[in-house]
Amino acid sequence: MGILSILIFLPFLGALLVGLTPNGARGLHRGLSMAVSLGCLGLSLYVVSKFQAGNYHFQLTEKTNWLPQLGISYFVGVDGISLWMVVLTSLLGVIGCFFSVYEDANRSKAFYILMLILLGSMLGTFLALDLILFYTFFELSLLPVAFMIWIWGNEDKKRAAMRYFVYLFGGSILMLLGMVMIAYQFDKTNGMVSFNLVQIQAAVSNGSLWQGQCHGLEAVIFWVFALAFLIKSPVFPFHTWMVDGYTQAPIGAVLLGILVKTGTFGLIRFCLPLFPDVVRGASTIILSVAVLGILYGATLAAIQTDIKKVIAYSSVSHVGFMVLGIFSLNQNGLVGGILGGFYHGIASGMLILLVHLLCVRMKDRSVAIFGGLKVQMPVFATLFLVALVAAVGLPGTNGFISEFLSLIGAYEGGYTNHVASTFFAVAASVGVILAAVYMLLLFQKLFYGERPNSSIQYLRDIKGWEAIGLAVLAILIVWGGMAPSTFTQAMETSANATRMMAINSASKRPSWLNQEESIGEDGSLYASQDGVVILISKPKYHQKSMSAELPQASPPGPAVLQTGGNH
Amino acid sequence: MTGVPLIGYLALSILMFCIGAVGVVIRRNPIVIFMCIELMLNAANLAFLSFARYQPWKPAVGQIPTVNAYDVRGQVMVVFVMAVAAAEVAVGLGILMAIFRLRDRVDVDDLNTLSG
Amino acid sequence: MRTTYFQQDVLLIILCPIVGFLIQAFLGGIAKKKLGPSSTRNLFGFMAVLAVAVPFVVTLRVLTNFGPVSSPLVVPLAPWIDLNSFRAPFEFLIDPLSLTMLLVITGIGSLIHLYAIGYMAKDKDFTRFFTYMNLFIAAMTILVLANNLVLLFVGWEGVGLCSYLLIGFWYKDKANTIAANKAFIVNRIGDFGFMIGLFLLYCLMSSKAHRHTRFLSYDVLRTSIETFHNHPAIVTGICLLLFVGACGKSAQFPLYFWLPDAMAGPTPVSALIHAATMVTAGVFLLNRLSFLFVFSPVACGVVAIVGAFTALFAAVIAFGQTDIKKVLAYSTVSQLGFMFVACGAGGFSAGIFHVVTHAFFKALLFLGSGAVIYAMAHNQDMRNYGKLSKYLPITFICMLIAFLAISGIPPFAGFYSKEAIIGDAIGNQVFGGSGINLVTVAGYTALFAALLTGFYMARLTWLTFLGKEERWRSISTDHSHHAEAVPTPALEVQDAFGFFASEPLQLEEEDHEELTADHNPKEVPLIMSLPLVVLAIGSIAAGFLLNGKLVNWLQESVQTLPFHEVSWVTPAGITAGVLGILVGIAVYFQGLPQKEGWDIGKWSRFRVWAGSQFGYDKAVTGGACASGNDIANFLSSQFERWIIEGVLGGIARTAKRIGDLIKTTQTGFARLYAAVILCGVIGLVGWIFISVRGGF
Repeated sequence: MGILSILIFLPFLGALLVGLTPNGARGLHRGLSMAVSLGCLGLSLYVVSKFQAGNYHFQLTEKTNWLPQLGISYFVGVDGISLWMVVLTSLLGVIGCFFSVYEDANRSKAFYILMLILLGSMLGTFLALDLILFYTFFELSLLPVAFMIWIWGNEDKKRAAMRYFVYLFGGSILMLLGMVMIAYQFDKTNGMVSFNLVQIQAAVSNGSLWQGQCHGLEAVIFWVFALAFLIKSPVFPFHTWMVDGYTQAPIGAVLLGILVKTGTFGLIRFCLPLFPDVVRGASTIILSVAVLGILYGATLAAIQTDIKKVIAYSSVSHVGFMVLGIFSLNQNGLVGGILGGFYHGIASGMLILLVHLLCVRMKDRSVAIFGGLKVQMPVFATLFLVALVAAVGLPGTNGFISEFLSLIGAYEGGYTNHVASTFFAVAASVGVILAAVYMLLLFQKLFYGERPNSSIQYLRDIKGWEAIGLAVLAILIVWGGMAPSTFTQAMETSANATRMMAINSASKRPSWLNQEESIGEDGSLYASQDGVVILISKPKYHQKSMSAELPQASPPGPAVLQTGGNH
Repeated sequence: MTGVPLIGYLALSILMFCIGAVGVVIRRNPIVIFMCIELMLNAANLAFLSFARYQPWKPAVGQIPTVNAYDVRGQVMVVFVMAVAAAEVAVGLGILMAIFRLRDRVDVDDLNTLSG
Repeated sequence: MRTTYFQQDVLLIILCPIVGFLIQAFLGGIAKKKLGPSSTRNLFGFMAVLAVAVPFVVTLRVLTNFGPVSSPLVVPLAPWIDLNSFRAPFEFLIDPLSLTMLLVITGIGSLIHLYAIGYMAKDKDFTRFFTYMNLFIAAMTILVLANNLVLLFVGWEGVGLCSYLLIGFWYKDKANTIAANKAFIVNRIGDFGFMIGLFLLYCLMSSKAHRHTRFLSYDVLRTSIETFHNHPAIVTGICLLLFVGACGKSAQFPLYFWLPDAMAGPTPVSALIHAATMVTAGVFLLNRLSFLFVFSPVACGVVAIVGAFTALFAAVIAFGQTDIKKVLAYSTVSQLGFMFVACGAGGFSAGIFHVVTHAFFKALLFLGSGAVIYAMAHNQDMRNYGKLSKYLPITFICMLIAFLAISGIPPFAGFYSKEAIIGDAIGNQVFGGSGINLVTVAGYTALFAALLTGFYMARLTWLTFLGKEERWRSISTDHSHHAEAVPTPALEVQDAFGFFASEPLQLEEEDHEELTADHNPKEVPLIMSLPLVVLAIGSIAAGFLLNGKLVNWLQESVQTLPFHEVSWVTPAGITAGVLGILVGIAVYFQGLPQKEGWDIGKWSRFRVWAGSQFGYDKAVTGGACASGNDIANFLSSQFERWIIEGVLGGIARTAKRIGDLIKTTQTGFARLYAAVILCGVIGLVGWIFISVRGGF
């Protein structure tokens, strides 16, 4: 059992352990899950230390047969794109457990079990390299949050939980179908059923999977995948579940913030490398949706009267920036998008946490009841300011780096026409202005002005331990802004490889296959062990597909056409 | 073994099955319905047995032909069916008892709480 | 060798204020509890000044080592944005331009810090003030030292943030925080232009295969002259967009309206940020990119015209103001306009010259006005002043010097720089020839604005210091102290976690001084008058000491366009200034004229109109807020509710309807199910017979 498997299953084991403890032992539950998530953080940092930057192949891979008859395997590995997401997940897991004190009074055991399952399944989502394994974790991560909202949520919790679950589950159920279709297509063109991402991508990279005539199929599967991930991200107009989720969720909203990153992650991991012939054409549509989302989220954030909704809509806007970067299909934009996932997880995690701490205290989320808090909560106000400047994208904070790279990428454009890419970049930049508007308005309403004559006057500043927890995030915000190369170093090679997988023509695309496996021009898969090359699979309909793809290369005589027709 | 041809057994089996089926549809007393279901199962059992008995037997390659070497797969199936029937009756009667205790009366047409 | 040497210096210059900032931020509150307010003030005030003064000394040392004729020197420190496709390291540029700006920032900055110790002495948030001030200095040094535009943007936004925090420093007053928001958001609009310009520049640079991926570094840009030469249209676009950014930061016409509101901050902030340093960042930017702007006459023309219009527009508005700081704010906007006229005329270094002299006399004016406000119990209305020269002699003399300097009277500093600007503009050759063109028109406009400058400054001086009566003596004292908010009675909250205190947090009582009729203004303490005197000396000397020399020295880093000498500019400039002052004296010699009395309603309609910025601010701000609100409300209450939720709800309803339809087949009639199953079996068997056996 390798390090990644331990990392994934440690939280599940922890959940089991918590399940074995007596019901009332809150402190024990909290301590145990804290220890487990700290262990995850330690392990993920160990993974970082083991990771070799400058190599886009998956590292620390582990592969075991799961359902070999169906080509499903337990296959995990880490690359530059998932590396920091794993760290972020573990970190926010720790933070989530750290700040759960105010939530766990009621049914603490269930709470921490769900928390740990969520943590484990998200780690699994980021590390899975088998489509079915990915799907399993992807869907598994929905459940804990749904239950958390259902049990510990606010006034409208049941509706929010229902909507959250049905929306996301409905969004991704079609993706499963898409995965099966890919595996079937792989069977047709490469001779075996496989859900192995690396093998499938290898078949895509040399052009044997989508052979000319399959563009329709490719497009359908691409959109099915894209839809699932765009809903999860969530991009306008699929954002309503998140607004509900953010407002109704308990502390798990912090983890909800990272849960949604699986959406943008999925876009990078699956949509770009697997559907190169469709991505370029589709990018314009997705970019315009992203830009609309940026402006829409920012506009709506400005007038919300519910603090958590402000944060929720601001997240919609920020996710727009990430998607904008990813689908501008160039190096800067892609790194900006990947970095955005990581950075926004920290900044928005901190913001939602801060807001949550305030709402927990006053048991009210409306902006109107607050005012003049800076007098009595100076530490809180300062930390809020740090999170705010990151959300606004002020240089020197991490928000700037990712936004700037995304925007520069959008402006450079890739495969949209130049006028369109300029328009997208300009419109998205308006979002930067609007970000200042809604964040400053929120800050002003909460912290400035006269103190209202209510129980707020009795409110104390946050406690020392809370400040320490938040300060960790604040330090990361500044660190990310000042030394982004800490994080970009690992991402860059992977991002570049992903970009080339998406935009290069067949056979010039890189593939994730390592030396032990290779793929022939006809799509046959070979494995080499100790210098001996073994044929794993051979395409069944080779003759037909070749003749269809290259009609000029081999002049079609009547005989060839007849054999082609008989299949 | 001579005398009654296969078609005779099968005709009886079909008759039993039809009686059972019609009984299930038209009777309202669950006990009677159970009995009818038993009738249908037994009709099937009869068919199994008669096919098994009348099956022309060919020894497999390498198998030594002996006098008692019948193909017993049909008989095995009957044992299974009987086991299932017994289990079904046990569960079904249990449910019926529960319903009777609850309602003092058992009529399948009254048991419609699962209607859409 | 030389680079490593400068590396330490640059590091010192940047880190000193940052360390100062961290000390103030983290130790300030603790120290106040441990040491008590008074010694905290002494210690932390001293440290804050030190954090700015040390960089000043270091800059002087760099200056002596750098020598008068050295070529620009790039000092790389560390990687920052470090991708294969694009690099923007922490790299700094030492050249005459950055050194000039550094000296202004740290020199005048330390004087203002010193002054602020006195000015802010009574404020309970003393250390918070210096936290922001030191952070500001750090950001500003990064802005001027940066060797690439992205790093410049760090400083650019950093100073914006500090400006936001300092304008809203007295945050209990909602008006202050609104002003702060306005400043930040309007600056963001400028930054929007700046960023788009940056992207355009990036694309232009990256599309030409360059050896370096440091596309936005000045040294790389300066070696790409060929590229700019070949793409005049794109260069014009870049210049105009960057100028939008400069407009935001330097408060030029379409985006000027945040600066007057920014006077809500403490006066040292107005002096440092909103007069001497931050607002000149736009001029600095244009100077930095002068090699780009010289390729685009159109952009230059626009810059000059916008600058000239702003100079005139703000000078006119200054007449309608009664608040002493507002007058100075509009004066700043107007003077910044002059600087942009210089840039537009291709005389970029003349603009910097004016930045330097302006930093002296405008800082002096603000600090002087701060001294007046300090002496007059924080009342800022000039109509309450009069004959203050009797009470504040040092302040008066210093202010008088600054007044003469800003009006362009020789031999004071403003004369030289203003003359250089007007001379550059009128004799410009931006469009090749030397006839009347956009820039020349700007030059004449600026000349007229210079006349108005003399006038409104004379108004300010006479209303404040001279005249015949002490007008605050006639204030009626019927103000009643507004009642203190009564805290709500003991609160009934479920407080399991100890979120709440048992007593409401007592607000520290701040002394609400009121200007009353029996108020006797006192001269400010030494710690405040010392900076005034130093700045006054600067305002006298900076002009003739630097005249010519500075511009020559800047040749190394700033590209200028040639212009031909216009001999009549000097006499014309002096005449304009003197004329303006004379008119001012004529009107305000007696003090507050009757027709400009207390009741603004009686003022001439033009002056009221000018005082309200000709309705511009109201229209723009109000319009933007209202329409923004409308759009957002429409989206929220209509689009989100009916379209997005509607579609979603529609899908859910459709699913439910289909379910309802299918539900009706579940009758609950068990025997029917049995019959259906039977029919199904019969049908299935029949189908098997027909299809498999081919019939019975």
